[in-house]
Amino acid sequence: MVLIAAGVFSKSGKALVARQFVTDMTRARLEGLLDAFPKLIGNDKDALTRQHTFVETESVRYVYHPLDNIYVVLITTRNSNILEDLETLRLFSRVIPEYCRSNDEKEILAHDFDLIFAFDEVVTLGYRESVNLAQIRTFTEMDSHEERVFMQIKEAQEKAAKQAMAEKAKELKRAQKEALSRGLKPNYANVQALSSLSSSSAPSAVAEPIVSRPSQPAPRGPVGGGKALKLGGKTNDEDAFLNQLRQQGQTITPVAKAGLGSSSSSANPTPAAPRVKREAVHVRTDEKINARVSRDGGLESGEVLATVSLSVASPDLNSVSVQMSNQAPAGGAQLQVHPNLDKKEWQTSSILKLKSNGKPYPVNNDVGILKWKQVLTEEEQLPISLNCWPQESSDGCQVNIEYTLQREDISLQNVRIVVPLPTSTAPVVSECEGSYEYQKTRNILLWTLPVIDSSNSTGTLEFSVPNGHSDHFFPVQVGFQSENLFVPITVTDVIKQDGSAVQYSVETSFNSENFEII
Amino acid sequence: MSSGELPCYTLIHVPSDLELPSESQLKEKFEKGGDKERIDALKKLIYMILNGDKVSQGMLMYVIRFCLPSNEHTLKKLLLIFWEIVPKTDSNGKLLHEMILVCDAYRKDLQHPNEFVRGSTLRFLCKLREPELLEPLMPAIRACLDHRHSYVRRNAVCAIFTIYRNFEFLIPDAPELVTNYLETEQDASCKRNAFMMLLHVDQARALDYLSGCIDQVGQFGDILQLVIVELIYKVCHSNPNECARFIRCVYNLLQSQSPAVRYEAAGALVTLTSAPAAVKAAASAYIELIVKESDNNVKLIVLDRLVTLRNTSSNEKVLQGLVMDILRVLTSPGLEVRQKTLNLALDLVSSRNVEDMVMFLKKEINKTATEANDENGKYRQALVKTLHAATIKFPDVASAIVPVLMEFLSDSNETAASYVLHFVREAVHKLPNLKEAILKSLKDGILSIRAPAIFMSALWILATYCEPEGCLEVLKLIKNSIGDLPIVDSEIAEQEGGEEHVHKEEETAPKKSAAPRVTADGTYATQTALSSTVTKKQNEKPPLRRFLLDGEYFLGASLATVLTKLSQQFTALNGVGSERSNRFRGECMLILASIIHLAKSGFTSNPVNEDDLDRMGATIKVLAQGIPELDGQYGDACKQSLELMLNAKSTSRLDDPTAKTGRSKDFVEVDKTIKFTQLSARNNQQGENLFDLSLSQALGTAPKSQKFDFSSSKLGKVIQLAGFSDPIYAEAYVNVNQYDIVLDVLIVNQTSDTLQNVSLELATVGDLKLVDKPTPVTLGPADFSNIKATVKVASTENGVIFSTISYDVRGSTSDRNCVYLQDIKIDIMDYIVPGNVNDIEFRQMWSDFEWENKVNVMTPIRDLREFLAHLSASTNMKVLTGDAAIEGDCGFLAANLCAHSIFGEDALANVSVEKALPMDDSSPIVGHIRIRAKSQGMCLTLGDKISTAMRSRRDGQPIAAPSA
Repeated sequence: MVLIAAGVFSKSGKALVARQFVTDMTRARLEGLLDAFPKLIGNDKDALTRQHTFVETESVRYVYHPLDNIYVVLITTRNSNILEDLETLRLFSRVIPEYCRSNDEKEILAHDFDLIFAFDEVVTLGYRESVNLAQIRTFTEMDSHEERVFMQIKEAQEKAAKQAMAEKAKELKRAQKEALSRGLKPNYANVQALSSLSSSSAPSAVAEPIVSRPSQPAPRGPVGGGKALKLGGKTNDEDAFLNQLRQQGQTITPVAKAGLGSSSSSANPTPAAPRVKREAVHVRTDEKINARVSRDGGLESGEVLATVSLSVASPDLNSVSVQMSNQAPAGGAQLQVHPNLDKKEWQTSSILKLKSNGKPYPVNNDVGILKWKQVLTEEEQLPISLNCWPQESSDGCQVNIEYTLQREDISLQNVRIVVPLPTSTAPVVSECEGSYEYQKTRNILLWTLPVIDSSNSTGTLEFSVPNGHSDHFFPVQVGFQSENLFVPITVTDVIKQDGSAVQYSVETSFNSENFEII
Repeated sequence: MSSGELPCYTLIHVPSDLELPSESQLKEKFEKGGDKERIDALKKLIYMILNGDKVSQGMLMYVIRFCLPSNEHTLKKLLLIFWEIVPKTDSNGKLLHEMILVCDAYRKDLQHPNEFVRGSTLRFLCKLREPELLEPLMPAIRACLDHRHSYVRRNAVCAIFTIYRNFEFLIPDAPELVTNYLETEQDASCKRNAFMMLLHVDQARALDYLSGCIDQVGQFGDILQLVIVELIYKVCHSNPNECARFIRCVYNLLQSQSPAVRYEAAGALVTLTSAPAAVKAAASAYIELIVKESDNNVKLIVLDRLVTLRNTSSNEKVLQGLVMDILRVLTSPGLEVRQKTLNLALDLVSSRNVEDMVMFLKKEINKTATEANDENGKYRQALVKTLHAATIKFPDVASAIVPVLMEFLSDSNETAASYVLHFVREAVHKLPNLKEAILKSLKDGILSIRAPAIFMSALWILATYCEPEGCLEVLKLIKNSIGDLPIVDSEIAEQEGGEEHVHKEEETAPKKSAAPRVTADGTYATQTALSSTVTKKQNEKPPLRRFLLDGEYFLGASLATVLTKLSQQFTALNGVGSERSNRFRGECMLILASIIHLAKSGFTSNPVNEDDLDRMGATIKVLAQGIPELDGQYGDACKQSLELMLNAKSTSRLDDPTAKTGRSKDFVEVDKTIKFTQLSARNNQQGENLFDLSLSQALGTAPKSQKFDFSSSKLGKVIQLAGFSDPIYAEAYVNVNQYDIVLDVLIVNQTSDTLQNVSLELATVGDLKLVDKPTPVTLGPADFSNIKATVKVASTENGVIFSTISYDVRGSTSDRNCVYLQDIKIDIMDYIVPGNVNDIEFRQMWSDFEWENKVNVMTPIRDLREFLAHLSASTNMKVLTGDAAIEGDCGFLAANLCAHSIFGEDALANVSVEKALPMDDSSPIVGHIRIRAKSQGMCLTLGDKISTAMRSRRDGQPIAAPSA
């Protein structure tokens, strides 16, 4: 049910007080609806002979209740639930005598605001509240215990402060006197303490931090012994009904939690399921890049972090060693191996091997064996660079964004570039490689490219918005995935302790974690 | 943006004699007064703003300085109303600086120890449309969600809801926040509000929550159950595959304690599935509601739902089984409800349960017989009508119905009795097997008939359908009912008593020229009649005699026809010229002659009219001479024309319901395009959600179906207001909404000076009201600007808007300059829609309406029907007179028209026109059109409209009136 407005009319057809409950209705429309009502119900005589108290027009329904010299009127949609509306109307008509001594025009106008306040308590955003008259009274009188307590405390504090002040003053005087009698100068430090005391007397928050909610109302179940049996009967009846429906070709399924198909629209892509077949020995390399690039060019900060983890499937493989090959230029990345591994072996021949007395690898568990970190210093080191160029003009902003793939050996997949927009403006995209989506609710423009590799190493997006200035379009976030590593350290061989080679699988991923142009 | 376009929440009637204080007075009150004076001043200020007065910035500052810090509760609430209506932006749409101070006050109120202050502030925030103001408040609003008072929490949820809906970026995680909140919430009201928010902003989450607690739905409060039903309806509407999951839940809610929930659930159930069991369950729930709820409004609206349910042909079968349940509604008082129920039941009844229904209705009729009041009479009438229709549909039940109905011949309610007679007439004609029984009961009942018209029809039926053998019996009946002959003499004798009887007879005897011939023809029949009238002379006169003495001579005329018919049949039986037939004719002539005598004697108060006399005279002649050529006219031709009439009636009856209800047919055209829901674009879903649709209709935001012809394009509605060489050129686009007119005026500075203070001043004539004054603007050289003004329309009258533009030229010392603009006329056709009333209502309204406007016809159109069609098309009035009635070509035409205005006024019109020379096709049409309406304005306006419409041809080209 949607209740649009409630009003009080005089019998002569004047709208005395009216309150609208849904949003976005203009004054002209509201007045129009109200003006139409007296004409629709016709003169008094018609209204008396009529056996119902509602009128419908093409667009709305009026439900009314005559009270001596006035009408209480609700304006609802035509599809609204009449039973609910009548319930509301009943409440409204009981509210009026509660605030007005008689039902005539003068009295209503004298209590216009009281009525409006009360009306507000009955209906919320077009839906009825379940309140009774006493509650409405309480709500409108606004007599709050907490406020009184708060006031009392405040008063007491003020009093105490005053008292303290007086005492302090007395003391001060006494001290002064004493000092005078002793011929010394009065000490002013005390005075300063006094002033700071008096200024800090206002309490800052509600005195009682009670968080307990009102006790949980007992579920309103059927009462009485006979009902329980009936309840069982009802379910039988219900099953019969459902069976009948099934026979008539209506499918019925039990209610199950449907997982929230939450499509995260942030720039960071969701990690995909493992794409490679796992062998008994599995080596996974995860690389993540964090970068902040200034909009005027130049890297503010940037680093690449990686972990190599190993997972073995059976106990007899729990002490394999891994031969790595490091093709990265020296001095780029700082490498670090797990302390349980033999460091010497690593430094000399790039083999990751357990220390002779080291614990074996746990079975079926990912263990990090190697980490590296590379701090980026130049913008040119980034796998991809973005050039965002907003151009302000009198009729809005024109924005060009160009990406350039700088590491042609890496192919980026699932690239998502998120451009924030000024609030509530739809962009007009004039040129775009790949695809774009305007997400109105988040005020962003999402530019997606399935793959960026050497074949399309540059591309542009060009759009314009009717307002806003260049600050609005930052920070631009970039997200991507790749199977090529930024620091190319790869596994070449896995061997058992006895020297025999083992079947192994390798999984590499290079993702952006926080890549933004600010 | 003019204030007419801003959302408006409150309207208070301010009496015109109320004296509003000046600004300085108000300021003083704010500054010096106590809480009471401030409250009073603030109220006055609110009145002023509501009245459309502009408030100066200084005033705002006073309110902020003196009212905001107060802790008085009433003042706090008044302030909230004040902030609702006060303009918060300057003329450029920028937020006022003062509002920052106000924003801080909001924040403090949101942390106020008084829970009610918090709650009402949160409620106010629902109406705030300035994101700049809301942004700093967000943490405080979130904190309120955990307040220990449910009053605060539930308003906080609403605030979050509206803020999220309007400015999502302020609280992007709102759905999640509210979902978490909902999980822990216990208060029913808060739960409802939270659920309602999810329903509107994130259905997936709402569904998730519902799935989690679907088994406890039955124990929820009614307000929450209602929202759950709404959710299920919405979800299933947009995604029909979901239906299957929720049928059980909806079915459970059908048994809810609250009638409102049951109603809503029934509505949802039928949208979810069209399986017969579901429809049956829903329909049963509806019927239960109608029977149990005492309120007539509910009954009527729920009945409407049943009727719409019935309109889907697949549901019809299901509902047919429920006819007897529907009839239970008849036990409730309220004629309108009963009438609707009867119509529905009649519509649904099938051969299987018609017997039951008839039995039930019979019982109902008997019930009404016990008490007689106005409404009962009408109810009986409706029952009789329904029974009649049922017999036509299912002739088998007629034998059961006839005896019941016959009892109503003597009913004092003439309409009910005449319905009975219509029924009897049709039954006698169509069902020969029942003829015997019907005629017999008619003969038994005829003497107790109390209304002349009924008596007349009953006699007609008897005479037309009696077998030749029965003629004598009918004649006896007539004689019985007319009493002593000759009428005048016996009446006088009765009046004057015994001794004067002889004297009077002598006096009147010479006058009786026709009567004496057969005075003492003492047949068997007359004897009995005499004795019977003598015995009850004092107390009661036989019916026919009574009617005649009351002056109902038309009865005499029809009696003449009846007698002729009888004597013809009798003659045919006994042979022409036989003694028996001659005697029969003689009797008839005696009766007629004495009626004529009575008519001429001036004995009765009502004078007889010539036609009736003539008729009786003519039949006497026919009786006396015997004209065989006319026999056919009185016999078979009569039955034939009845047949024709009955056929015409039944066809119109058949047409009627389909035309009225517009029932959806099951068949589709072969070449109709198939709609694939999967392929259709998301925004034009097939069958829009009813909730949203009706809401947008109510708010007036429903998209109107745009027509793409050139004449209705925006350009067609642009009116040029000033000349091209005026210093300021102006043109207006007139946008007519339902209750208001928005003028979008473009003004162009054509000079090379800067014009200051350019203001558009509007004045209206007619029932138009200016909602707000447009604000003045400054125009640079050759600059232009748009000014919007809203005008409210309250009734259908010719409205004219006069306007001027006044301006100052910068740097010149001259007076204010002024450009007078063309006046804008408002076309009332935008407010008139074709109306539909039945004949009885039309007559009733015609006599009720106080204003009439008579327009003489002057038109270049030469064809009568074309003229009518043109009139109807150009004035939006609907022709009520049926096509059958204006068929043919006879040189004249009369028709009724009707229209409603969207303001709820009715207008009627009657067209009576004829060709000046009926034989000449090119002769002009003469006649007049009379317009009636309740208000003078409507009458005059429509008259003007009609007279201009008449002069123009259909293609819209005005043609000079023929200078005749």
